[in-house]
Amino acid sequence: MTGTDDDLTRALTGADPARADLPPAKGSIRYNAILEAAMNDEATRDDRSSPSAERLQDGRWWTRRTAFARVAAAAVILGGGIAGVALLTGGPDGGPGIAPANAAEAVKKAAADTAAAQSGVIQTVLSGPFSINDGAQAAFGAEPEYVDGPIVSQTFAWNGDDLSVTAGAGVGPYELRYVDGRFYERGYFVPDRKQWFHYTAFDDGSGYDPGPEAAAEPFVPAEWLADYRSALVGSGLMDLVTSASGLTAAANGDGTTYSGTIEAAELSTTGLGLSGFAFAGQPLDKLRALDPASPVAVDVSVGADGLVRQAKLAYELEGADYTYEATYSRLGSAPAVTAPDPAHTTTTADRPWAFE
Amino acid sequence: MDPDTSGASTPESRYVAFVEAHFDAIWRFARRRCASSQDADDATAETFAVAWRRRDEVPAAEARLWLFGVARRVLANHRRSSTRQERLRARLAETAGHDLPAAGPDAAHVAIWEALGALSAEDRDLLIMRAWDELPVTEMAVILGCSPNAVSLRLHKARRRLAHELRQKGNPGPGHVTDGSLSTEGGAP
Repeated sequence: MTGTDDDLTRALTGADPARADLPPAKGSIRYNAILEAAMNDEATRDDRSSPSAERLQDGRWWTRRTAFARVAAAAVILGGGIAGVALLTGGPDGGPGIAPANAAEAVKKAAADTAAAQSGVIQTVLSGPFSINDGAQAAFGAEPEYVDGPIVSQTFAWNGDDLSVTAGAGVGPYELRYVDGRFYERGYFVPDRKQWFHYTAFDDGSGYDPGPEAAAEPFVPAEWLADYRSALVGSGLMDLVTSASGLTAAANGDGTTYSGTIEAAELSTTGLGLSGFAFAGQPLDKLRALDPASPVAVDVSVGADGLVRQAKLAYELEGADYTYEATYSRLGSAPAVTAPDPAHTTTTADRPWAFE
Repeated sequence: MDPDTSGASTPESRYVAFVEAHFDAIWRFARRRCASSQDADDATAETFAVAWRRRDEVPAAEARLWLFGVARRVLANHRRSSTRQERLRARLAETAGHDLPAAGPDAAHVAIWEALGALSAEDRDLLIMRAWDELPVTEMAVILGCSPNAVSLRLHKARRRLAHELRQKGNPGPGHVTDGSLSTEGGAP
């Protein structure tokens, strides 16, 4: 090592974060949580982290966050999830060879029929550019580098009045189930992957100050989920279909894709269930603010059975392309949503307020 | 995977011993590249999860370097999540009127952090590997998949750029910069 190396090492060593921030001790709660998370990591995805796999460069894979739940993530779940639902519910309908004049009515019928399904699964993905700057660059405002990929993804499944939400990319490990009027969740306030909580009561939010123009409202699972379901399987899609203009129909495999446009201002994030906290709705909110007349492309694919297969929105914001896709599957044939294993479920009334 | 140093015979017990042997090194490696200890916990768990899934492929002689390689890729992924989290935090702060705390470097070392922050990710990675992880050039070459000579050359250039950044910010850093290299004079930043 040269003298220059020595100088450099001395200069940098003092700034080493790992000098002041020590690793968790063996046997500590954190250590054990990390060990358990590593050993219980479900091998349900391709292992693309190993040195032998060089698939990272496409920027489209995501690690599962181990467990350390954050309120921010929860906000994304509770708001962004709805956002995804809302957007995916928008779309046109029709059949192969259908005349453009009838496309609007056809897609409305598909939306209505889809809404009538008693069960189903919807996967939502918001894709667009996101920064890959590391902490040091971001902390000091370096020019950001962007790649395209999924920003937020979530899966919703419903059967009758029961519902499950599973977070994917961009949100971290989180899951909720609403079964027989009981509300369960895990990975929100407690990082343990196995541990479910069945909450019997909810903070009313009275201790939260949302600002002068808003009021903290109590979190009522039944009401919230009713709105959630409505946007998920019906009203949001119908609103979008109704607002889209210039709908055309084109044969697509065994079904039809209906395409049209809608002005950004017409995409009411409130109506679609996109709350102000909805991370997934942020690009759309910004688009609406910057250019309300900006066109948003709407594509709704309808299968031969007359049910919506996918609703897709595409728009440009500040020179970047964003898409929001909601893919429907197992309509009318999705399995029952089941309560978590009682052996891993704790019943408690002590649930913090959602956005506190 | 490393030989069973604990005398245990099951894959699980061998794995626990393996984690114990490398835990601190991997956690520190992650912490140096994360904004918080919680993120380092996440990255460490993810790294060892990969090791668990690929336990039959871990090279016994170079397990530590193999883990560093895994951790680098895991961290690259975590950076995206961190950025999304930061954007969300900003959004929440704006919406809810909350003043959320922001992660940042120790104020006593702002100059060196600013200089590091101005470098490319590649330069920064090289310097951190050398100065914080204390890896010799030969091991850096294994992790980076290039020759030791290439690492030495890139490291030399990274040092020059770091010195330049420190000088630009009015801080001569560890040594006064003269012709683009670091001299042995001067004090700590």
